[in-house]
Amino acid sequence: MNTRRRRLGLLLIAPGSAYLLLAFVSIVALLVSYSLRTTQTATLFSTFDAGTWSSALSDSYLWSTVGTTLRVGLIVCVLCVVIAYPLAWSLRAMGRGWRVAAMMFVIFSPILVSVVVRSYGWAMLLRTGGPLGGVLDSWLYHEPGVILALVHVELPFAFFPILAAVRAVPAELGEAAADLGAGAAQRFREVLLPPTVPGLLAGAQLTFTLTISAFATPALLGGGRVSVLAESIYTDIQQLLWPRAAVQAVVLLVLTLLVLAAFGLLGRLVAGRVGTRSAT
Amino acid sequence: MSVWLRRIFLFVVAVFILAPLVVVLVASVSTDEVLSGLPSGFTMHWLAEALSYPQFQVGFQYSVQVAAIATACSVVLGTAAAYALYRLEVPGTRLLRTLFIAPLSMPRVVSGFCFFVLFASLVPAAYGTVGGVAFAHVLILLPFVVSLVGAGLATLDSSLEEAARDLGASAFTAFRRVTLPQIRASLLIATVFAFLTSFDEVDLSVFLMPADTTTLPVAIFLRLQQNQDPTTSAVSSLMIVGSLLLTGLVALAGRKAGLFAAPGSTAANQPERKEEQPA
Repeated sequence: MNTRRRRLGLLLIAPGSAYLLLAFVSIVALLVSYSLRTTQTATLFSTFDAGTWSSALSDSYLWSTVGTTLRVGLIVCVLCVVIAYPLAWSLRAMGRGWRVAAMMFVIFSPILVSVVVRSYGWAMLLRTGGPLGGVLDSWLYHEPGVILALVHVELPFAFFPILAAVRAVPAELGEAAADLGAGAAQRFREVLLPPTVPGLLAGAQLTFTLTISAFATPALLGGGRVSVLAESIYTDIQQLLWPRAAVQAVVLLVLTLLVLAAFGLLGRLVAGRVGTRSAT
Repeated sequence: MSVWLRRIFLFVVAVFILAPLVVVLVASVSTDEVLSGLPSGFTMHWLAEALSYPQFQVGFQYSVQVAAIATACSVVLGTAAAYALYRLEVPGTRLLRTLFIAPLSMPRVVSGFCFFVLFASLVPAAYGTVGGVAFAHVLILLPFVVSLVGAGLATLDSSLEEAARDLGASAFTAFRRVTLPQIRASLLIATVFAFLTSFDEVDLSVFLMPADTTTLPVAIFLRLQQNQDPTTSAVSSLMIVGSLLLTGLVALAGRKAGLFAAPGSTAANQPERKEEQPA
């Protein structure tokens, strides 16, 4: 029975695993292989050289692109969390009912709509002569416009992990703290905030990693002036600069992994602190 | 937070979320070339133009085919994998669970670039074909299917299936008659979500097709880079209405069939799934 279950398990998981391993191995192999060339070619193995790497790393363009990518990622991440956090508490405070359901649907609905369509909507709002064109005239095709649209795109991904964390906080916790004489600020800082920090970090991590690899929104709202890594990779391929695109793809992948690792570390640090505090 | 402050805040957020969608919808039936405020008249002209624009017609068919194939493959592969990971014993379960979630942290443009290079250097015939694009989409869809179906399976009572086996049902029959009905809701949500994700995908698809025959969102993207006119609004509106209709219909059908009343339904799975996303 046991060996049969094992064999069945292996049989069931084999196709999916084979696909993923194939995809991942080829992705890493191809990236490395193509970044180690200097000319565009369709042959898989030719002589390798590090020319593209050394010229890309000494090029200030790459560094400014990395800078823009990280700056936009950070700002969007902070804005999303700053909006999503009070949003989650507000929804919790509303309890249940059709209003909450309607608001949940409003927050969720952008996920069902293509990123291209949403970015286009912002372009229409911001363009000269558009509804917001008079007030936010200089935003379209500049960084603020890209950031605004990206906050719109990534907000649900910050919201849901935070909502899950906020909903898990027992209602009695705040009441007990109030009974013990804690003021509103103290109650929030010392009782209600700590248990939601993991959810907050999960939301921030998700929005940060999704934003630094976002392509369509910066491409449509940046107007070529806001160059982030994802868009730069695409432009390089259009210009047949495969090796340079591969170098930037490796940089983007490494950045993503670094961000994930940093958040993982942060999460463990926070968990450690909460743990020691509840122990004392 | 006082009640009024909270209401104003929620109202502002709702306006922020809905504004770009509403402006697209309004522009597609307005007579104005550039919408600046309230529309000055109503017209079906842009919708008609969008429906007769060849790139959008081809794009729609292309997208439906890609989404159907990619969804079917990822649901079959993903459900089998989820069943093995959450119901059976497989060596290295932890590592395998990480493997199946890992594509989520892979930037889509990086995967797109790699599939492009892979096709260009090894299988040139796959570039720009429905099968090639669908093959690449499976990478994005698999993690969603495995997490959603896995969450559904994890909340199940395993004794029911064991009882069926003890009563002489084969493994397949037990799965089909006992387990499958219990995870119908998760499966349905995973299927719809996978289909919409594939249908709307741009970041990866844009690398895999020549500019004249592309999926619908890529066709919109490429057209937007050239010019922005109400025809694009019209096709975008059709996409918004289509996605909302599809989700609404599925939700309604699911509710009618009593899918979401069972334990392990949407509301219960939502937080679990989100927590699993960051790898």
